[in-house]
Amino acid sequence: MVFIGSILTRDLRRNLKLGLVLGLWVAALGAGFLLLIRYQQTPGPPALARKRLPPEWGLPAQPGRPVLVMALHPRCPCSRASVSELGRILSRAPNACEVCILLYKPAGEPDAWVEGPLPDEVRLQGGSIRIDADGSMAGRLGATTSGQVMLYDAAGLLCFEGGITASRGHRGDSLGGGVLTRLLRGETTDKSGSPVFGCSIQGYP
Amino acid sequence: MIASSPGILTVSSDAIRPNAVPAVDPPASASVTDLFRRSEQSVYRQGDRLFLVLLGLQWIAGIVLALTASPRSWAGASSQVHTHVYAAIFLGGLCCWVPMALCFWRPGEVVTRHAVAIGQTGFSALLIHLTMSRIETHFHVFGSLAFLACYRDWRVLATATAVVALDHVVRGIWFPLSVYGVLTASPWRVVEHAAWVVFEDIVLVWSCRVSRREMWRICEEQYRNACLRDGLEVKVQERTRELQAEIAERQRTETAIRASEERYRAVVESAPEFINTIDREGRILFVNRVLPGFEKAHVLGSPIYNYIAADSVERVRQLVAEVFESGEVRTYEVSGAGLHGVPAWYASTLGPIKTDGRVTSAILIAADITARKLAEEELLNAKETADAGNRAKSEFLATMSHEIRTPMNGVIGFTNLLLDTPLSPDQHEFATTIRSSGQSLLAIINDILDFSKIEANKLELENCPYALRPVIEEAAELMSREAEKKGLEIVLHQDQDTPDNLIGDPGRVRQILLNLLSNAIKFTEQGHVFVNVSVDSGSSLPSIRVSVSDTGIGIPADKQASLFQKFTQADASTTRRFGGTGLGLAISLRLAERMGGRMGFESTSGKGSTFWFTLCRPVEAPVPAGLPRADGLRGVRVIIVDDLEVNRRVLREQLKLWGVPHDWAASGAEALQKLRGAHTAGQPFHVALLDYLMPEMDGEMLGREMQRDPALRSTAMIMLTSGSQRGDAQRLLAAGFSAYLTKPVVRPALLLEAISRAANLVAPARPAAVRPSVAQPPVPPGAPPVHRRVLLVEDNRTNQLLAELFLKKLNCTVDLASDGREAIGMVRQLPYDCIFMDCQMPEMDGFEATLEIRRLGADRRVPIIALTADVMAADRERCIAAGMDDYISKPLHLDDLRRALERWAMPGAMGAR
Repeated sequence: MVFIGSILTRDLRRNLKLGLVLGLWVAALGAGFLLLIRYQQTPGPPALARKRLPPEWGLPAQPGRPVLVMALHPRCPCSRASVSELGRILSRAPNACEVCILLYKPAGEPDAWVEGPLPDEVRLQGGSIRIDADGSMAGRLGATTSGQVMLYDAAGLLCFEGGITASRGHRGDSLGGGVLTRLLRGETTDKSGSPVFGCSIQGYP
Repeated sequence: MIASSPGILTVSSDAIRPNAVPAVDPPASASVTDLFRRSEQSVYRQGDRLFLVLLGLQWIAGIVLALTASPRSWAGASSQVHTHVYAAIFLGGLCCWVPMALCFWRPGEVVTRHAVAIGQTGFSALLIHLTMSRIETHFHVFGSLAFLACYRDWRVLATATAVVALDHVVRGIWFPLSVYGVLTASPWRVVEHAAWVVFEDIVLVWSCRVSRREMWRICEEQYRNACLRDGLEVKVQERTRELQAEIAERQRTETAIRASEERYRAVVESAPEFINTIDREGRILFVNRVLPGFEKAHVLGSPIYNYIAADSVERVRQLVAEVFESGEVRTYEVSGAGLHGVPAWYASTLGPIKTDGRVTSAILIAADITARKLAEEELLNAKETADAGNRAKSEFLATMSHEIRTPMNGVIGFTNLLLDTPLSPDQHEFATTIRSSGQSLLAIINDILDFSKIEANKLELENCPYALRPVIEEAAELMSREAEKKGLEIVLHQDQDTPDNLIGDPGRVRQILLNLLSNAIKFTEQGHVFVNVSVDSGSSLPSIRVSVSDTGIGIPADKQASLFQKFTQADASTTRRFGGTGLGLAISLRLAERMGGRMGFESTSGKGSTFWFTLCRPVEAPVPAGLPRADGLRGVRVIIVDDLEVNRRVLREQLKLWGVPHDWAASGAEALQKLRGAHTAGQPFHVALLDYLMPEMDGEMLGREMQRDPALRSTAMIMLTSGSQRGDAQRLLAAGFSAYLTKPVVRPALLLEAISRAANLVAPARPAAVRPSVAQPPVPPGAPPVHRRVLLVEDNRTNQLLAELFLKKLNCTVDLASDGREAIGMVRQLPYDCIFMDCQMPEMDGFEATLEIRRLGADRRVPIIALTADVMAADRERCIAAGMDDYISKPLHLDDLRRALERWAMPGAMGAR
């Protein structure tokens, strides 16, 4: 580094303006990456989920089984990471619960608006899909950010709510994913929530 | 010198151009390091160009990727451009703009490629972000390092690695999820990431190093090639310069040759002569000009013989062949074609033209000499006319000479007779004057006759072998009396190595010598006349130089030029003072030249002159038989006493040649001193050679003094004198002299004999009674003449009387006949002892009469002596041819008649014949 520094210094001495530009350039790069990291690491606004599922939703289909509900915005780039992480979690605790995916659809839009790779992937995970017109269902559950997961135990009580990705669109282990996995395995955990990284379902305030 | 390998190590890659070395064209002065730097710079620039494109493509690809993967972010039914798209545009742009700008404006600089490294690794980080930290995107890092290795600069890899490391460390610490995809990164994972990067770095650095070594090797090769090329180029340049110089020189030479050729062409074409070149067959190859009426084109190629007179063609053809065969120049004159068809004469020179030493053609230069030929013809005619006139003049002179000599014969002859009769002193003086005047007149006539004959080219010379020394001695003897009268001495000297045998006319040699001696004596009042004979060193041909030197008045320088002209003496007063016709030298000069020799003189006014002439055709002869040997003179010591240095020198050289020890003295007193000194020293002189005429004490006085001195009495004395009188010999013998020799002719044999005899006289056992024999001086014959009967045939009465008187004096009985016919009748009647026959007579001349007498005298041949005034050799030969035995020139002299009688009419002479 010292050597490189000496070479650079030599060139820079020759051209102070160039040195200044390069310095600003490197600083800008650092700042840009910091902003990007910060964006990546910024979760959606915290939400308070409903403690029980609305009974008219008919969930669980088999009484006495835990129900996992995930609110997704089908066009949010982060949704695929969330679905992917959900599949990985469910694979670690198979048949531990019923899965219901609420796919947001703006009011007035046809159901085809949600079609794309994401519903297919959801179906692969064995979950049922419910079209959430205008986000009303997610709103009733108190979910505001795409990717938010809510787990209701066999008693129908909310036992977990939060995101299962470590950051925006990030696949891999995350705090929420770990808690959810342990809960689905019937293990105890002192955590019941995690930040959610994704687009807003409810629209801009 | 090839520079050592650079000490820096750089990472190399073959991604762009394996072993890529730019095609450099290094200057001859560049070193390997320079070449390597230039190659390195080229690689850097190539890398910059590569990344200029690659960074741009990555930026675009990032934007496309962002637009594809996360084009928008949503909020319910609303959406907006996703942050990733902005990040791809601006952050990605931030990664590439600055490096691209540097690549574009500052390619090859260190800062550029390091900025490229930073930007490229920035793209890796951005990609990882945009792909939501997909682990596969880490390969972009490896790919980036591989691309950066194109620079073959390990420092760029270090920069990139440093940025990657910094990114991983920073994010690994504070945002591990963004780089490792986990919430908390294990240190081993950091190590693992780092290990892969380091591994790739090692491989790439090794590759760079290998590549740079290859670059270096190629540069070395290039350098060697460049050196070879430079060397070759230098040689090419040198050779080019040489060739240019040669070309320039050749051009100059060609220019000079052209100029020279133009000059020669101008000379040739403006020459008045006809200049041709012809081949072996005589065909004309070139001609500078042609006669009017001829066409040059027609003349070229035609034989030269077409333009030559027919009777000369074969001769010219032969000359052409000779020139081509011998390569030598031939000149000739030939008649040929001329102006207006009139034949002209040409003086032609035919020379060879050689190529590589071989005669390939000939040059013929012909000058029109028609005018000269005509002039020559006119001259020839004029000459013939002049010759005819000259002949007539010569014949007239010869006739006149004869006619004058005949009466002069009478005048001188009768004057001689008159002087033998008793006369009063006055009468004797008158008669003597008449005789000397007659002799002078006769000499003048003889000179005129000689000169006229020479001028008329009528002089005929004899061509017989003769000995030179007797001729010179005779001449000197003849002139010695004249010299003696003036108190002069004639000294003869002849180099021992001078050939004495010659072929020529001894009479004319004598005539020249007599003339020179006569002049020398005439113009010398005191001193001596020195005759020297030597080999002529100034001539290329073997010849002998005879010179006559005197100590006379000399010749003024302004008179010398005209000295050899006829009738010329130094000045008119000379003629008045010394007499003479002034023809002598002119005649002598012409005689010498006619005999093939030369004649000249050197003179200093007031000191004397030296006249010389050369004689050619000496005959190689061994040592003359008469050359005396001096073996008997060993131990004899001789002293020479003479006041004249030349005399002493001649004698000294002679004695030196004989090996006789000698000394000399210039006076009697000095001689006595040396004689006495030698006696006292115990080495007395045995012989003394004494000159008679010496100042203060002459030779006789010295001899008598020596006889009076007992110490010197034993020295034999030999007297050398220029003059002799009757009774001298007896007187000197009585005075004690053992020998008496006359000068100028002191013959070596005689001198040797005299010294030998004198030396014997002084030998210890010398018999007192023995007297030396003395060389007798020339004395008139004293014996009474024998009686003879002679017939004198002479038509001229005066000559008859004169001859009769002379013959009667010689005790002859004389019968007279007036012409040849009468003589024949008398011969028929009486047996004569001798006939003196005049040649030119009326009725029957001497020649016819002689023929008739010869026809008659079959039993006994009577000697017939011609009496003729003609002195030409042709006349003499005519006499001999007619049967005569001898001839006597008129005017008659008593001695001539006596010698003829003694020779031809002596008793027994007829019998011997």
